[in-house]
Amino acid sequence: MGTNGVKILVVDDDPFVREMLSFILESNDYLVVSAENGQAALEQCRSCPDINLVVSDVNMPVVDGIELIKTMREEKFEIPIIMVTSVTDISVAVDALSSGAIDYVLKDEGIQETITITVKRALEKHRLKLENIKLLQDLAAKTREQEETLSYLNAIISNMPDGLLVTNSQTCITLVNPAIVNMLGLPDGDMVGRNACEVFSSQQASLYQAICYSCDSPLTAEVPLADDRIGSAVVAPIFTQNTASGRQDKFIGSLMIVRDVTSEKEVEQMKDDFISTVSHELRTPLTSVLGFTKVIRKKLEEVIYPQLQQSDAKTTRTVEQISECIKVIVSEGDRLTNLINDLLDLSKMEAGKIDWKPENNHVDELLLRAAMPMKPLFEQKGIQLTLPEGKNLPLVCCDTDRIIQVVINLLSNALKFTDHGSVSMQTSVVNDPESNSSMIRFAIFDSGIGIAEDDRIRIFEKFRQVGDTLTDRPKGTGLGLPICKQIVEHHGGSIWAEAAPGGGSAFIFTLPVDGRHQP
Amino acid sequence: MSKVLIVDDEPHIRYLLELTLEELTEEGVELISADNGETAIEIIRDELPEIVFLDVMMPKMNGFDVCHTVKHEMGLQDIYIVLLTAKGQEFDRQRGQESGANIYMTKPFNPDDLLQMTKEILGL
Repeated sequence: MGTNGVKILVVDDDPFVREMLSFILESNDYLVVSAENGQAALEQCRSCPDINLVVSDVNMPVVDGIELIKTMREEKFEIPIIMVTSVTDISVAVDALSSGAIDYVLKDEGIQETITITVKRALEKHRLKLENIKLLQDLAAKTREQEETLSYLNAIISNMPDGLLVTNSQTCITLVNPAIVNMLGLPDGDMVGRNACEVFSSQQASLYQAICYSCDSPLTAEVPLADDRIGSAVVAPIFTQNTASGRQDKFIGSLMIVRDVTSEKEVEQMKDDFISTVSHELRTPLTSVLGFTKVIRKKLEEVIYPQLQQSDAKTTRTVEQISECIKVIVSEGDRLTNLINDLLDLSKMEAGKIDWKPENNHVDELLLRAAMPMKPLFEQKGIQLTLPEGKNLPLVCCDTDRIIQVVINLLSNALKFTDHGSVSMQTSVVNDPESNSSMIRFAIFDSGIGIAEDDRIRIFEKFRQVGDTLTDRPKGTGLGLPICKQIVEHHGGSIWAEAAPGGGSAFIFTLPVDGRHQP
Repeated sequence: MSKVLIVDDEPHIRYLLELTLEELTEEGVELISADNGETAIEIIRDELPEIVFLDVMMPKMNGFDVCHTVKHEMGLQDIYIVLLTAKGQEFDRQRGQESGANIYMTKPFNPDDLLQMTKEILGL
């Protein structure tokens, strides 16, 4: 192998020159092959692709040096060629260079040194040239790649069904997609570069506000769209991340995404109307059924019964039966009323249409207020109800009526499923490991039938009552616990069921002490 | 002589209210009925009842509008208006208050409670 395995083709019709050049180059550790004219050289180049350099005479029979260069260029050989010219032939050297020779060497006494220097220089020059070409190709490929990525992203943004608008930190628009132009009915012409406050209509002023105030956290706003449609806009800040320099994230602008929510709104409205209508259509006949039943009961008790012959056993039994029947009608009517109320409550909560009224409350007071109306029912059934001993618990911020509703719900459940024994309430302060904050823990224990482990989650689902639905008499609306769950979770707490020590069930819920989750 | 006006497009509900308040007639209270809002306005103007039981959902003129007309346009603030509704929606409650009603009752109501309330208002 020669210097770096470089292979040089020496072309000259004079065998003496060929020998001499070959000898000089070989003694410099190059690998040398030779040819006696341009034609032979071309054939060698075609058959031997590993030739790195050609050193060629100009004047040769068949195909001369200049012709050789031209043909090689035509045939796209990327092999540098050094021309060896005689001293008298300087113009030929110029010809050779303009035809594409990389350099030339004069055939004089100094050729021994000049040829090695020129070869070395030519090889280096050629290497640099190839490197340069490669760099340019790489650059072109990178540029193409980036252009493709850019046009890919542009295509995505242009075809997004949601509207997109981006502003810089001075609220000047830097990007809009066609969807947002249509949705917001933005004025014609190029939006980019205009200030956001100029392009929104007066009804859309909230969007500009959102852009101005979104530097810290994302904001959501409802916005009227063109053609009487309704949109939901989310505006979020854009930060650049510069971890290398150790600088903090820099705010560079805001992005806004607008989604057409007209049909969702319509469906929501339809659902509201439906529930409202159903509620109305159910309540009206129920008013008659319950109302007339109560009127009948009153008339019977006040007018009819006193006139009956109480001594007659059959009459007495009939009066008892009628009273019992009326009692069933009234209690079932009340149950139906509660079901309608619960349904309305739940659908309002799920739709987020409840006006929550947060107040600071003493825990003991809350429980007392909930237990008050339940006391007679417990006494009636002979179940003892124990309230927690007065502890100095922190105030809890909650919607008083709603939390009382939760406690009453849990108490009436406990009463429903407890035939003997007692129901007790306990309170304590616990730490919530997730948020690392203090929570008030409310627990209601009963000594009733208990709940199978598999059912403890299901009971918080809508219309789920544990037990055989065909044989067991339903004991409520099946919506009480889902409502409790909605209320407690809205306050940032949680609710669950456990097995109580010594049988029975425990229902536990938590409420945050601080006002983080103000309802 | 005190007058109580019952306004509801449902004949059953009108009858229920009449039955419920029937015993008041023994005390000299006159019960009057109307089945729509327009008629109710005419009766209120002519008879000036003490209490009006007013259904919300009625053809021609709804209870909110009747209430608003009586309280604000006719200037009859002293007439005690009980809005009776089968809708339990929160915004209805708010609309009821805005229209100037004295009290808002959700159907189904307890006849005894209603009788008791009427007696108190009439001072019987």
